[in-house]
Amino acid sequence: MAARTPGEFSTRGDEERDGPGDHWVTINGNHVLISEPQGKQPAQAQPAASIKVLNKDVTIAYDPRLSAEEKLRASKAITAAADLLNKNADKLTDDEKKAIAQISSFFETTLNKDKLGATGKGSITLSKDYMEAPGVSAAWLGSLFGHEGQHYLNAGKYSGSERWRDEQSASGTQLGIGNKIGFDDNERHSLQNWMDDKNRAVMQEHMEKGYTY
Amino acid sequence: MLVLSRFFLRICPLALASIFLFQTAGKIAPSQISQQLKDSNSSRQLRMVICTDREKYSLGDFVRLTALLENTGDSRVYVDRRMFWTGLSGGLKLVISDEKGNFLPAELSSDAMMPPPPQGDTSILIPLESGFLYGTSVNLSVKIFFPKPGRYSLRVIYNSMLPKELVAPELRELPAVWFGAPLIPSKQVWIEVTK
Repeated sequence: MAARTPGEFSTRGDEERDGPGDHWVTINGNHVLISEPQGKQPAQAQPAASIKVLNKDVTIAYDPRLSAEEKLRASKAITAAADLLNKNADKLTDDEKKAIAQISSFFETTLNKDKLGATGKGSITLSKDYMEAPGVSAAWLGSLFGHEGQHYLNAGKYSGSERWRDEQSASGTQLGIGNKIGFDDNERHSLQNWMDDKNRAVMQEHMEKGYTY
Repeated sequence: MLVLSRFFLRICPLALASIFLFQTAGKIAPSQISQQLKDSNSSRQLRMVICTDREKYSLGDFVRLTALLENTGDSRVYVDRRMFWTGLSGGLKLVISDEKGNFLPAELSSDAMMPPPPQGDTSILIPLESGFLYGTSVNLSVKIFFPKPGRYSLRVIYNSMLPKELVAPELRELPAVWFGAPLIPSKQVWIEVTK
């Protein structure tokens, strides 16, 4: 029997016999053979230190207070978001790509310590609690690259009573991206509610008076 | 223990302030008006209470700021169980100003919007009985947030980001604070920063 690498899989129809450590699972209706080496633990996955987003390297930093498991969860979530952006790159407009390209690093922090969102120098900071909160899907996380990236692009563009337009612009970019990478109806609706002209007073309040922490 | 006592002493009663941000336009059915009033009342019977762990800090310290929604009414109110310190789009906005009332300069927009709840999630609302509080806290680096010695005031504004139409159908008639309800601002709390 030909040797398989750890974790390698094949579909039914192989003429090979199942070996020790092999097991079949059903994924999307297809029977898939998972091969695992015997007598050894699977290699410990490590959290990613960087990811490619639209062919650009984005470094990922983790708060050292996060456990290995928490870092791994965050890594998987960020990678899934990046995968959605990459997989749907051809659907994104040039403006959306430009916004996403503003992001060069991603930092996951423990709860309640650092500022969150677009935290300067092309960085996005999100807390563990935010990333693991109900409703934060891969598509939502991916769309945040566009939201925060658009804020970077908007720097200095809106002021005074027009600051709400910065938030509306960032949310518009987020919506455009989200629609292309898998937003569900609720995500779409929620963002539309927030960025609607009728909500301008709240957006203005959100953007003004010092810290929007 | 001393810190704990002072901590609780700093939770002071706050007056309720409501800001109506939306105007209704066009014809509205009586049932809609009744529902809007109910939603607005849910918001009105909540107040935002904030407190810090101390009154005086040095530049190397962290300010632990706690923000709580308190049900001051006579009946149960429901609130979104999620709260993020990411501005009004995340539920909680922190506003800091100096002794002269000047807001500290804003940094580049720092926000991350609250997503809608997962479809069919029936655990998204927290029931707040009369007199109960629900909230969260944040640690603020004095060096970053209050870089110069002096007195500063802190305020927190709560905004619900939970649209009624996006929660599980069985939750929609509950007296909850939904998206579009009046903002709920706290009173100011003062701290002093020394070298």
